[in-house]
Amino acid sequence: AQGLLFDCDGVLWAGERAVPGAPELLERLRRSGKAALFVSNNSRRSVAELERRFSRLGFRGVRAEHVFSSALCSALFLRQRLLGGGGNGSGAGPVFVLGGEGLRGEVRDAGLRLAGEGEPAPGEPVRAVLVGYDDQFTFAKLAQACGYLRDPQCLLVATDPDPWHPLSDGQRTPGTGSLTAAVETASGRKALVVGKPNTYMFDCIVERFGVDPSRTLMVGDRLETDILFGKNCGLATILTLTGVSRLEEAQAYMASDSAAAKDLVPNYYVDSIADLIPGLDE
Amino acid sequence: APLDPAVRAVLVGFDEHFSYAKLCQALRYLLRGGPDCLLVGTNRDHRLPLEGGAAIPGTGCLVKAVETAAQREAFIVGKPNRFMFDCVASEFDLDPARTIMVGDRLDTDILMGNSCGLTTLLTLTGVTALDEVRGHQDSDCPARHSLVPDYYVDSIADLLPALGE
Repeated sequence: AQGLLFDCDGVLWAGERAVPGAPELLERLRRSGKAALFVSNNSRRSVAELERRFSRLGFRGVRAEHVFSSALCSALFLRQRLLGGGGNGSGAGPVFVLGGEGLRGEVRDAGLRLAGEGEPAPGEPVRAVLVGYDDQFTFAKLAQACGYLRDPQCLLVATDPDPWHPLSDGQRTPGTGSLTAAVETASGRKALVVGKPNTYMFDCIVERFGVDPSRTLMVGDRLETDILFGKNCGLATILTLTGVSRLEEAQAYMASDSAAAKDLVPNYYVDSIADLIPGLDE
Repeated sequence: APLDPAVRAVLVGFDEHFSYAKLCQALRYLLRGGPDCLLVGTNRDHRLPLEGGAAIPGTGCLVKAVETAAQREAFIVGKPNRFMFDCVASEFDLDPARTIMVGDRLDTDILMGNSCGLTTLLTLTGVTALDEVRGHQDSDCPARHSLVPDYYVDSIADLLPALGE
């Protein structure tokens, strides 16, 4: 392989703790001239914050430009759809964002304007509703989003489909997928989902770095997003067991008769990505 | 907030104060209890219509949010589920063959009425337009035929002449 794409949560780290051996793996990849890029469905943080997080958790040499989060890619997607080819941000109408400051910052950095919360209807139509991880989600915001979505020209976009995320204490926190389900039900519309397993984030990666799928591996912890993403993009896949999916789940998909289930079976699996280090010497 | 050890069910109804924090709490109870904690929704209505074509989100949206986070299906008490009809029928001596269900919504009112063996009457003063009914009637899909009422009126006031008033 020429390069690897890594999911982050559950692969490189769990909460505030790096997976033991993960920083060393990335360092060895760097030294052997293999590319490492990062693709995450987590829409909470800006790529600048993620760069600082990598550094804080002991990963050296990872720069913001190597990191493709669903927050960044959703902003790029909206810029593309609302501005078309070229032009500056002032030409496009505002975007109503259901999400935190990290996501809102990425949308602003893409040159788009944000519709205010709790204000009267803006003078111009809202051009998109973007649903991300929003721990301040309320019924009122749901109603506001639906108001904007009555206009069929207003896009409905979601950063990722994840129904829940694990917390370090074994609990789960609701994901963007659960909030998107509420918005879809109320508006009668289907959201365009930017994140894995859809392939848009891979298009962003290819545009910036020109990656060859036949020589790239996808490493992730969630079968329904990371592994299916790999399959959809033509990448070989490695499941690591330090995150969401259990080996039994992969085995169940493998034993299933459905063709769709086969796409969720990884090519390889490891207990942790540290197990990839010995293989680098070959 | 700590979990109450006595909680045995999560009930999702219309909640204009619904929030991420409440969704989180619901998920925690459902994970803690597993199949021993019930997940119940009052109804699945997508929207509550207001004047002028506007609408506010219905209970169905909140039920979907909880179902998605918990990856399990809620038991829905409301129409078109027959639970409420069974409640009425057990309290009052009802003969379905001599009872009419009057409603404005095909996928709740009319579907429940048809499923329970009632005669169904659609009124057009609510969410449903007549071409929607025709669409179901002309469809090849048998499930859609269950959404077709036996009769319709423009308004329930049109029933007055029939009562000899």
